[in-house]
Amino acid sequence: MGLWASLRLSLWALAGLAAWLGLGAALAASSGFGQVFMAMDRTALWRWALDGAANSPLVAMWVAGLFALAGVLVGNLAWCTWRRLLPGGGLGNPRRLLGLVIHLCALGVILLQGASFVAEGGQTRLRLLPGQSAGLPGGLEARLEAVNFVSDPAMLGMTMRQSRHLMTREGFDRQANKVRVAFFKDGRELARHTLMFFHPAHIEGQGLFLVRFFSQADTGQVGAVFNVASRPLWPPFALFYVLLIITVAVQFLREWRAGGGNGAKGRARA
Amino acid sequence: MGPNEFIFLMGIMAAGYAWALAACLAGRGRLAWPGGMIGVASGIMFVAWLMIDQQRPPLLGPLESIMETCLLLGVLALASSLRGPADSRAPAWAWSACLVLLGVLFFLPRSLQPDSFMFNYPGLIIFFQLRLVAMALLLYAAACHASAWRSVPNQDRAADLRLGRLLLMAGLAAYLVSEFSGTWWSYHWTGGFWRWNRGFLESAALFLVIALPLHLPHRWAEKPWLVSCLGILPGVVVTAVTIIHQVR
Repeated sequence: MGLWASLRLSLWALAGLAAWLGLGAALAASSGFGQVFMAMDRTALWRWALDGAANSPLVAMWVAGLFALAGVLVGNLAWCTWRRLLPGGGLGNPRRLLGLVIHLCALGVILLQGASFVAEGGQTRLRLLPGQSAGLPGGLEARLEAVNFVSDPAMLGMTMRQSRHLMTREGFDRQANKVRVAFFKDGRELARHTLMFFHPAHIEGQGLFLVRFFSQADTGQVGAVFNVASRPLWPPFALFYVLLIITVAVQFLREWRAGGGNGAKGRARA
Repeated sequence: MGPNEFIFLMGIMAAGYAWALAACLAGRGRLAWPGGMIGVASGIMFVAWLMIDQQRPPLLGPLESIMETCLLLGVLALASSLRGPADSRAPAWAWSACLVLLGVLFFLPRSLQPDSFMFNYPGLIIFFQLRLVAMALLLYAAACHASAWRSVPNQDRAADLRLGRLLLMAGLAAYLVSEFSGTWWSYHWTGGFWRWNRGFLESAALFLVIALPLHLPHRWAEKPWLVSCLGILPGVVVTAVTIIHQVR
């Protein structure tokens, strides 16, 4: 079977990818390359690769290396699953079946995360005052109907970092500070949603996320800033992630019950 | 409670764990229990005070992270040491780790994390809390693997390695819950479940580091020093990266 479908390659791929991600974290934290990573963050990765990668070849090489290493890990994981976990013992063996499900879930999480870089777009920022409308993808239109801002207006002129001392649990009530948005298509109203922080609205595959409030400089009128994003891969990604957690927990409980957690019993088994 | 009271509690915790460690090193494992209890009690006092005064559990920042990790690590060590003298090696490593962490904390900012409107969002609380739980579980797994390195007879080594592997899996599960919660938090706030920034890249790297010792080739698994080194790695790396991230 050689190197492929071997634990040796799994181990080296895991170690290599971990080290590569660590290098990326160091680059992202550096003053020289931090801006490049922020630019990647604002748009879809494929668009950044087409438009911005040429300006920062080092980061482009890092991204290419990341995909290459992740490809080796995923390839080996898929091949391991096919050659080692599926045959021999069959699916009737609960231990092998659990191992298989764990690896399939991990494969699902990694593949869906990778696919989201290619298939999904970035986020679009919308800045609206009450009464204003903006077009969304898919022929949708969002109109900000009302803003209910009950906290200290001083925080509206500040950046998120500057306003941290005001945006406490007492100073900024997540439930009370909210906006109402109406969605239209072809002139027909589809729905009305109340949005708060961490409480977005979803309509026809588009998500509208309230990310902050602002104050219009001349009138003092309070408006809202939204992110618009379409994340069709989020539900399957979340599902695979939850399944991965459950299966790892079940594996832990199985091994615990088999005597691994009990010192005396563990020694006896050893 | 202010900085002086925090230092007092840290001192009590360190004294208790030092007592427990000394008892283990002297081969009097049973005497470790009172010292371990004192350390755990001071950790419980810190957490209880925080929950009453700030109305939240420990979340982030060196003070909150290290105090809670040392509390959980102390509980795990105490639970192991109650089994008898044969089980005092891993607790001794765990108490050593607590003393190192408390020593490091002495040189770091010892203030509570400033309040934020997000501190009542469950996604954030689970993210930070489970990260600390994972840190403690992985550090105890590291203690088991360190203990296994020079354990004799072989039966003791096998039991240490088995417990170490279990704790690695428990740590992995806790870490995954934490990461999923962080992903949920990010998605519901900004609309993205991945960010190209230092935090997300570090988190992904740590997940892979935790997975490393669970993928040992059979030939490597026969080398005790290699198994121990790889088993120690996740606890040390996850703790170091988390603390460094919170300081910088």
